Amino acid sequence: MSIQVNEIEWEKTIKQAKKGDKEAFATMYKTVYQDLYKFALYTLGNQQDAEDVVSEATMNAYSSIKKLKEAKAFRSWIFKITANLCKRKMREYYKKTEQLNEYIEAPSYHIEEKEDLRRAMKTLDKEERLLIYLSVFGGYKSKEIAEILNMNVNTVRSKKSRAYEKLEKLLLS
Amino acid sequence: MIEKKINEMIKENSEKIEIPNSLKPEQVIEKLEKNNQKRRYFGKYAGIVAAIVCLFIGLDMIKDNVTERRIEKNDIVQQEKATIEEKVPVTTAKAKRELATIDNYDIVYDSIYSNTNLRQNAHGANLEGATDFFVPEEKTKEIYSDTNTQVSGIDEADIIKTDGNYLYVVKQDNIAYRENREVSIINVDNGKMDKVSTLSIKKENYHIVEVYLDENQLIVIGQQSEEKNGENKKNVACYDLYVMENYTTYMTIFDITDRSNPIKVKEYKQSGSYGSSRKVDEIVYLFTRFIPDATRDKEEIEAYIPYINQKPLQSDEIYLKEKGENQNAVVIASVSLKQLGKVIDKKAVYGGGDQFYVSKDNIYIYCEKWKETKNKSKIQTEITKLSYKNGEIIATDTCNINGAITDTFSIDENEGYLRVVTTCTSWSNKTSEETVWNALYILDSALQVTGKISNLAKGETIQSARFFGETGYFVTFKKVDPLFSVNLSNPDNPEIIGELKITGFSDYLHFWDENLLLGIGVEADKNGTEKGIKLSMFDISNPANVKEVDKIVLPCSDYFCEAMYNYKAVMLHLEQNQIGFSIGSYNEKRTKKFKSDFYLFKYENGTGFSYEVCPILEDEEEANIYYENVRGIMVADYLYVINASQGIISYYKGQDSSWEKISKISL
Repeated sequence: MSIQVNEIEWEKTIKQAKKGDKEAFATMYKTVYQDLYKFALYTLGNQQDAEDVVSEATMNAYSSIKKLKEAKAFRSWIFKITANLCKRKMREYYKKTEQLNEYIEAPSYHIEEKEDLRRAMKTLDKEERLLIYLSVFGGYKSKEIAEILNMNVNTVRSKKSRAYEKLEKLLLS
Repeated sequence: MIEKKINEMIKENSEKIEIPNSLKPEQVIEKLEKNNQKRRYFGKYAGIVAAIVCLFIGLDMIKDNVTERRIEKNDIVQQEKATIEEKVPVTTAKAKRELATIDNYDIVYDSIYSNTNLRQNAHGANLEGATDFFVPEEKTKEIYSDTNTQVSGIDEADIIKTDGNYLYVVKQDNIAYRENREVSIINVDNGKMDKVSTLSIKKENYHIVEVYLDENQLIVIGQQSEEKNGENKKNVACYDLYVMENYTTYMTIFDITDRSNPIKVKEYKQSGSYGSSRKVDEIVYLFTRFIPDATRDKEEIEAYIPYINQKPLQSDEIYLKEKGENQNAVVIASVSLKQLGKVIDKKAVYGGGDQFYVSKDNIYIYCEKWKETKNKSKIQTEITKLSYKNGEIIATDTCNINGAITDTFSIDENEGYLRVVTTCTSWSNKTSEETVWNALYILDSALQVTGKISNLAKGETIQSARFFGETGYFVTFKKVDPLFSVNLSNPDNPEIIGELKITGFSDYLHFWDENLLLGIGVEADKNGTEKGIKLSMFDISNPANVKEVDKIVLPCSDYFCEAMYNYKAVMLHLEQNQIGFSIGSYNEKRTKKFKSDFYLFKYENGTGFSYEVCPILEDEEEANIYYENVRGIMVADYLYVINASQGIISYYKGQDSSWEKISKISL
């Protein structure tokens, strides 16, 4: 998961990155890219799209790194960029067939998942999955998720807990 | 804890995932190098990233996930019985019905809990304006198309506005994350365009969302975010250190009497992220969403009480809907444009909701909530009603109805009655089996249900709705599209009087004239498989027997169309029988570049639909992904196709010819 970084080192690194030091940026990137990709992959369900989204988020982050005030904010900031790009991408998947809301996998989707986990996630809707994956791969709590997605925190909390209840019934009973 | 266990399961499964090579840190460094070079090459296009070109190449033809139109949809909350007491009327001549406000801030403080620090760090705008005396010349009034709003007479903000002589465009930056800080003012005259000025607001972490135009005032609405330290002063809950954001919404008023010289005259500030706004009779009503924080001490009021222009709201301006569950508040303020930004009234409703509908007399805030019983869970919508006469805002009533409002146009007020169509979902707690159906409610002025229809279109969800007077129309869809007609003339007994089953479905309904209803949406075959974008014209002269008298289908399977989810992206110029919006698409086999065009449709009685394609100004070097933030505006006989990230092309149509390009301008 995420690599622990010494705080002082971290501050130094971000200072360098803000000056345009690509190696420094890559050091910061190293601490999040796996989680970002997994988050995007699970959320979008498509390898190519996930790759594109993380790539675009990285470029955005690099070009606006100067705006980042706190080094500590880097992870949540780049997660926010990624989550928003995922949302944008999901909006583009505008196809209403009778398979509304179904979790359909593209042929290129190679996640070896436990069958029951995959089936359980299928019963959730897009938004529920987005919230769960932000929680799993981002490590965020409801309030943080609400701020990342600009949603009502009550909604996030209830939707998330409802989703976990659904999963619990299917996976842990 | 369930959450922990399940998260671990998912995480475990994800361990085996291979990260693509292109995302590995070494590759990223290379990409950044290349990107830098390209940036230098493009000069003024610095910032446009090569990666974005890659974004659309190689996208899977078969989309595996179907999107929901509004991911931002807010849903489910544990419903607790809300006890709202009727306020004892203050001795005034007319006793108004009003929800109870709070007595003191402690009540708010005690009822919320969260865990972040707040740092107030506002920056002023840097704008210098000259103060020359300027007399604008009288211009003849041209007929022009205006923002497509939900209720006529109630203006809504947008990224582009016009007064027939000028275009006011919020320049969009699609590259860096939220960089919109400029508004361009462009003079238009018979197809010729001339940028006369650009106003910019230089604040940190700020971006312009949308604008209003009011005679000689330009009202710019923007949002600023500010990172705050995740310092857990009170050891509440168990958060890791993180830095999240705090939002403030600004309304900046410019005097544009001299269009070439905009002058900032007032800056107005309100706590919270921008929700929505309306402009009625020279008063702007601004709605923001404020997330309070109670990890600070009670004395640090700014952490949990919203502020307007450096002053906190008073207790008698705060409504508290549910104790203990309150996290977010809706802040509503009325700002006078005549009196240059003076605040007329302000209120906050904690737990009120986050979606808005504004009628001629009332503001309705609503949100989805959960209701759990022993055997079932279901979605409900909680509605709070506020009156807003002459800027005075008073919360009057609240209610709960079954289901969720899935389309902005699903809620409508007429002669004091509120009509709402909802999609209802319920789950069995034992089997997790889900049931879906639709309902229509009529509520009186106290939000009491007078009539309803339930169990409509089982298994389907509402795609679009529109009400007018005593008739309502709504569309549900699973495989085919029933367009329902409802007779609402008797509030105690609404009746479905018609059900037209056709292929595909409409995403947006608009009354063309008293006998015709326009539908913009999607065509599908009998099995529900999508075939392309469709416009339909329905004859509603007899609502009990609606007929689709004409339709036009653009066969495309791989497209992006903002009109499908944003009604402001639709140009409706009924004076000239025109409809317009942008569509971005690939060709059949994705062999050609992604292209976006502005489609201009016409409907004439007798000949039906026809259309022409007017290309959108794009960056010649890159693929044009700018199908969003495109607007078409008609001024007299000229069409201006505005790509708010790049520029504008003007077109003119001769008598018997097609639309011809006249000129173009970059933003």
